Amino acid sequence: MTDPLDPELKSLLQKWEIDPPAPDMPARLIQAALSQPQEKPWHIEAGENLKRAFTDWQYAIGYKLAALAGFAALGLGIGIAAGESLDVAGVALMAGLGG
Amino acid sequence: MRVFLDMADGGPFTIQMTSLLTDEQLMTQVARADSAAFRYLAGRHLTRAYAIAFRLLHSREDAEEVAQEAISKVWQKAATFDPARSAFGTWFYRIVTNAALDRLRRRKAPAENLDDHAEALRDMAPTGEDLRIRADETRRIKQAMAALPPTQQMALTLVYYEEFSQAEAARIMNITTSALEALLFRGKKGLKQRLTA
Repeated sequence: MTDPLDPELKSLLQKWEIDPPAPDMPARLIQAALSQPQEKPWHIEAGENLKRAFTDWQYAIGYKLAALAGFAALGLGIGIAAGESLDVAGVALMAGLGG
Repeated sequence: MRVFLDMADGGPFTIQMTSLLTDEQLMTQVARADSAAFRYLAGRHLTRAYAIAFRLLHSREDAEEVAQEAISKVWQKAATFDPARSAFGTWFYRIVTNAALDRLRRRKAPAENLDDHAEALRDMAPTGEDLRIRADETRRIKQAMAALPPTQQMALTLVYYEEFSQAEAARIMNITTSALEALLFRGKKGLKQRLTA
């Protein structure tokens, strides 16, 4: 691609020299950047969150399973008891509602 | 050529010939939180980023802040950089130009700042006719550039000061090459009018 800038203008523009950066600028900026956390793409972030959630859930897994089994047995017992025929008249008589 | 040993995280020794690595290869390592690769990559580009921002903002502090913003984004968002979509240079200098243009547009009265800066420049200049003439020329060029619309200033800065090709500059500014040519044409015309007046 051609550069249509005429030499006179070009040489004039080159006379503008910028203030150089402070000598320690690169080191300062790099250090400041490194002090910040890196962001991760959403799918990696989501994967890590899932992994973390699974790891957390595994904590005290023996107790959790035992409690789950206990509550299941209790629920099963109550269910069986409720399934038996109930003597409603007897219960009412005992409660003094029989008249 | 710089060679360093990377023993981060107690991993295996890896000898890396960083000067032989491309920006994109270094970015792959930066995405893995490799601070040595980041230092090397930043070292390649920070001075140029500062220069671009300075030409637009005429202030060392503002130029440093723009460079800081851009290089911090490189570190923070390294994992989201996709070399298949753009070269590192295009991605990085687009961050720089956008940050500098945003800052320039937010300024209320850049012309006043420029006059102040020109005064300071004259005061700081050592005595001597040549130095005074040079300082005056610098002031004239800065004022002529500052009077142009920000996008024209950016196009001129990228192509004529930082010597990007027109195609590269167009990609950095996220415009077509013909749009860039139009900016350059109008920018040069404006500069000539002001500098030869």
